[in-house]
Amino acid sequence: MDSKTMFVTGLLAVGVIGAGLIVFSAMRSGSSTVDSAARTVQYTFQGQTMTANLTPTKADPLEGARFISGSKDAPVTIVEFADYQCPACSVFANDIEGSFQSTLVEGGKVRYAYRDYPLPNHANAMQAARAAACANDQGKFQAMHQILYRGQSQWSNSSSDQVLLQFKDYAGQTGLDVGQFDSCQRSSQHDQDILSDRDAGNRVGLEATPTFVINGFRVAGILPVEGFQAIINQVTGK
Amino acid sequence: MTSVPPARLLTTRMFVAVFGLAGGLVALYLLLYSLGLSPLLCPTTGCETVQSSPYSKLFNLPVSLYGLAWFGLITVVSLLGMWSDWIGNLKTQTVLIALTALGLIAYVPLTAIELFVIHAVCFWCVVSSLMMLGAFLATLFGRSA
Repeated sequence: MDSKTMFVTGLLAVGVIGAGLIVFSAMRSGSSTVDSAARTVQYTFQGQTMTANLTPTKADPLEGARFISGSKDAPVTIVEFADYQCPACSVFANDIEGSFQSTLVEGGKVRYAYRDYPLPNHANAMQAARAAACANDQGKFQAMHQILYRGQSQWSNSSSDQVLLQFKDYAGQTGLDVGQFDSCQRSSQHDQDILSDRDAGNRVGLEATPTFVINGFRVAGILPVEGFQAIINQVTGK
Repeated sequence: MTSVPPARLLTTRMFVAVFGLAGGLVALYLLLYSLGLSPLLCPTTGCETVQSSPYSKLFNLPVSLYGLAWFGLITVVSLLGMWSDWIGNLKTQTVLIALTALGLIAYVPLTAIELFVIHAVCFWCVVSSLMMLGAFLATLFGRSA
């Protein structure tokens, strides 16, 4: 056998074995007991057929949640785990959350909770979560939540001193008592709650932000409202 | 029109084939995830965000399917090029440069969408683009052989 033939034979063998291993591991994880209830949901968005991968989780994502909206009697509970400094989370907050709230939450179909998952590699994420919690103390969580996400690019790379001034400015813009807000955001009074949120995220097996837990199924990434609706139909058996 | 490529060109074709195969395997992994047949293991955050975004499809087909086909084509052409400098009337080297350059160009809008629209980077997409870059550079190296 000459060297060319040997190379091609070897390469084909590596290709077949590699492809076989990938397919085998996919089939194995698809039929494993851990993910035996995993589901995929297909939906149409802007003319494209999209697939959402749902992974079941047994942990209760709502326990200890602070920022909850929607009816207690809603048939579906959606818990979002997000990081104020995560760009993908800002896409959801800035471009999708409005229609998500009006269509699903205010329509009575969904009870929605937002939980913090400040990633360790995002230097200002924890401070942003503190700012939102401090605004919540004055009944202005949603206003601060929105302004933090809208202004994400302005404060993401700020120093720890700069970011406090920027958030103080946001507090003024949202009509908060700025002095009270500032002393709150400089304290660690909400840190335990924020870390409890992160622990809850770890318990549901979160791998990325944003992650949504929809009636016991975890789905990662940005979803359009059409995606949520398709998943809701699937998990409620409609 | 058949002539056997010189030894150095032969070596670069082998490298192109290896890059093509590696890129194809990455594309296969992403394709299985797109079809809902496999979980996506990713050493960084961002893979699921990118792969579950609307931009992971083109003409209703997963982008990874196009990647699989393209890397497959590059692998086949580079292997054929080990025996002949010509594929039909086309010079193998020209075909390979065109395939790898077009492949590389395709990553420009895809990467821009990741960075500026989705704001997340998929690790496996980066690996895939590096495989295409490797195939392109190996092909260029062969050109000067």
